Amino acid sequence: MPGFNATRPHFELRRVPAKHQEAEGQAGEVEVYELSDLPAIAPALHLKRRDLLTLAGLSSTALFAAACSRQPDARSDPTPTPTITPRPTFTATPPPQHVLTVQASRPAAECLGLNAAGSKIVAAAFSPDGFLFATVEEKDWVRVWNVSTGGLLRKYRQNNDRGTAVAFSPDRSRLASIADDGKTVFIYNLNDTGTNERETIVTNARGSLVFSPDNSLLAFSAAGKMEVWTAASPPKKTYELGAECFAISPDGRHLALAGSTNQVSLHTLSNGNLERPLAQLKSGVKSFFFNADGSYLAVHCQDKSIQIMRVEDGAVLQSIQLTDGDLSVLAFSPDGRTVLTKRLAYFALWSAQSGIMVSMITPYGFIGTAVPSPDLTVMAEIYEKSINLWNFQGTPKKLGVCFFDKDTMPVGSKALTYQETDAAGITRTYALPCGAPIPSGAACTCNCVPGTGLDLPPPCSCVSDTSGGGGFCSCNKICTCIPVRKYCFVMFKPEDRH
Amino acid sequence: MNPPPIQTDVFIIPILETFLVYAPLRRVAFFTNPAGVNLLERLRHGPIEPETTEQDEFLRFCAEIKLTGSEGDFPITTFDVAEYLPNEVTLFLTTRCNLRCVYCYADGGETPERTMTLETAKRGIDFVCQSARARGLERFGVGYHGGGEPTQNWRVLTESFAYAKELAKANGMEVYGSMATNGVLTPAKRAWIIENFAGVNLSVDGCPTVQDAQRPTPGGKGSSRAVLETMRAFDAAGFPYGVRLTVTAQSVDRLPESVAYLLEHGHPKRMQVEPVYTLGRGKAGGLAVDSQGFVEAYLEAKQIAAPTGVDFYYSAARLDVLTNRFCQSCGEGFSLTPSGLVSSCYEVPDDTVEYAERFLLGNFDEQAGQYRIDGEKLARLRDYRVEQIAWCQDCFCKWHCGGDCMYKSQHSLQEGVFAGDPRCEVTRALTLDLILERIRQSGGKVWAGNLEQASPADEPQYSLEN
Repeated sequence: MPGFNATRPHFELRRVPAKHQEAEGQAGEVEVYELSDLPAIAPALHLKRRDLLTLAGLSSTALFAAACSRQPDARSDPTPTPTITPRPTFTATPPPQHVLTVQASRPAAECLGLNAAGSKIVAAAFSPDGFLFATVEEKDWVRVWNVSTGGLLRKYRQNNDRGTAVAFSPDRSRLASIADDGKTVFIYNLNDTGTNERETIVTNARGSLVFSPDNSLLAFSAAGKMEVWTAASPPKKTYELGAECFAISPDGRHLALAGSTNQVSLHTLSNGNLERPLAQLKSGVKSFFFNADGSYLAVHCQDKSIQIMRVEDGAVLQSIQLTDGDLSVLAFSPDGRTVLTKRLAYFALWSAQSGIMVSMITPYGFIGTAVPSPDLTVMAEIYEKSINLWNFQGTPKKLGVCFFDKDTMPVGSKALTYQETDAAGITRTYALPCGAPIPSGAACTCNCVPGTGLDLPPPCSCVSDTSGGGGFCSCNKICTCIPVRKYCFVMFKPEDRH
Repeated sequence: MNPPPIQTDVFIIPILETFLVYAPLRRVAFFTNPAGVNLLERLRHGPIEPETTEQDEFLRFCAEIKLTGSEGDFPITTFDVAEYLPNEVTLFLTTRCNLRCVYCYADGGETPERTMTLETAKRGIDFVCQSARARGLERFGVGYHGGGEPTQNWRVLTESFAYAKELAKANGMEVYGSMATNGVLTPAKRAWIIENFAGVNLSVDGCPTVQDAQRPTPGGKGSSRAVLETMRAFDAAGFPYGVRLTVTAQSVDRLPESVAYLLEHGHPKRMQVEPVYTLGRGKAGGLAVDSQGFVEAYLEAKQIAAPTGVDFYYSAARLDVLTNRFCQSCGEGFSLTPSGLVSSCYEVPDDTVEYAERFLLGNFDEQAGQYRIDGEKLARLRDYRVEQIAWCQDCFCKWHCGGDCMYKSQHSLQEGVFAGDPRCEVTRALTLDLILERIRQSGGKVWAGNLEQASPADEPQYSLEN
């Protein structure tokens, strides 16, 4: 490698150099910082070139504006250029007001190991206002959560059926889920707190599931087609069309549809009648997104491109060429100026105007599937049985909202677990299930998180047990046992349980 | 007189206006201010009475995380046994190679052709089998490695491993086979490897553009298609393999893309990323990658790799390892060159490479019917411990990298003494990243790994599941 900097960036323990003391004030009191106290540090330490781009792109529209200004100006460029058909002007939708604010004072690490679900979460969705979150699991359960607190609001059993999709009605009164590997669509009444009654549609549903904006219709894709049903009781099929890929316009009047012939067409949502063909694309369509006022469509195509299409005349205003990889397109941004995509460990915002990537968002440690809130301010991370929320305003940060159902943590299993395996392969677990006795000989502290059933506002109180064991953590709370002396985890015999 | 509360190595890493306190042997790290560092420094010399509430809290904090106190250092791994009893042999089967990688440390394919005989291979296998038995082990290992491509001496490779399996069976032992290969293999060779080995390491540099430019065939054609076929065959068979990417100045900007490409087209268990070694053909001008550029690209690629769960690493940044040696080259390695010389290092595949004499320990004495090992050389190699390297004494990485690669360090000696090299910069940056990652994973304030570990003797007798 080329020459290197022989200066050492560190020193063995000794008094700090005078220059640092001057900067901090020699008489300063001792402090221990959290990483979150040092927001300026993280990007610098990560040494990510693209952080600069991320920060610039997220914090202002400077890059967007710069991209626009780079468009060639024919009058100032005397060089003859090939004839290029001018693209129609793209007008962004004014950004709506943010409706969702999630604040969590609890460190995100406290949520580590908490199970929201009893089996792997296979689909999830925010409610249109962003305040509720629904999950459907591989086995049995659909759960509805309070986004602000992580508290469980409702849960419905699906007859041991495997769920595949879930969606809220815009008025939050109903929740629909696809279960039984697509054979059944269930519609739950969220206002009904006790009976678990539901409407059932027996069909071949799969993939997309969405209510109409006026709450009256439910559309879902089925094998080789899409179906539209009334969401009333009992549900009735209104019509079906021969294409699986669809999107409903925000005003609820139109249905955009893409079939196997790569033809994109516009239909009337209420009856399915064809209004007009929009465009003939070169490749198949994977997904659709309307912008906030329904004037544009972001069409994610099989050829790894996103076509920004004007609904008025089907004109393709911009083609965004994505890079290789298993990339998913998540949403149009609320202001309609950017399209959010995800690939492996990072997200990207692409300018709908210029087609270039205006920012890359790399939430460190985001490993699961992403479900964006409607206003894109919060990103839910679904990983196996757990849910994490990330603040996507500015630098991405994991929020300490703990989604937790005590029923997923039966006594006898590890609850709030935090494991570390050392070089020798030794793994230790620091957790106790809710309701378990604190082992004799262990000095523990209780660390409470919101429980389930009751949506208690955090923080809940819990009396720490420092007497050397024998205490209990009561229901609706979970006890984290922190070993403070050797043999803390020499566990009790089964018969010692009370 | 009371002992000082701090009795372990503590390093201070200034970061912007704060200081990262890192005690590697206690697995403790947190950020503090100058007042905190100065208080710790006083604790190095003896107990102190807290003068303020904040100081009192800080002292209790240090005690809780076991930064202070006489107990709590994790053990540093060193030699398994005092004697030279290797239980693995690495056979450098040939100098022949079917690729002409632009940076090959061994000048593969361009040195006079030498190939190992089956007899030489069998002797090495006999030796490690006996050594393993002497140590009371139930298994021994046979590995195949460069200078050239091991599969180019196919007959000796297959027959020697068949011999090893027979030998193991006759002695009631197990043998495990491994290999580093360039992955340009015929279907029959792939099938044999899958059938016989416990795993292999594939040297592959990433996306086709990079792979074909850096690892061409002797005729200048690309090798990416062939390597991809090998990865697919391994994946289809569920065969475990790791990949190793070498990064040059030309490929560093494409490292994230290369990592994404390999993870999209294969399912390796491990992914090792290294800056090009300036050895052999790698000495050519323009290949060396600057440390900062490598670190930036590595961290970006690491994020891409993270969701896949692949073990993504650079060899000298290893936070979970506490050791005083980088590898077994320092007096434990047993490798055989094609002509049968005993080498302690993978990077000394024959007697023509630079500094070979320092790592070639001996040979097989035909008359005595046993290996003759140069005790003085062995002692010198074994003495290359991080405790003996002055340059490393104040480095916060020293117990992790163990002084880094001994062979490479030979190229950075100044008047016979190691005085650091660009790898140190890389190691520090990536080790620091791992420390910060642990702090983040532990809630963002402190990493107290000593509270998360226990010795085997502390294993609970009963678990909650009982």
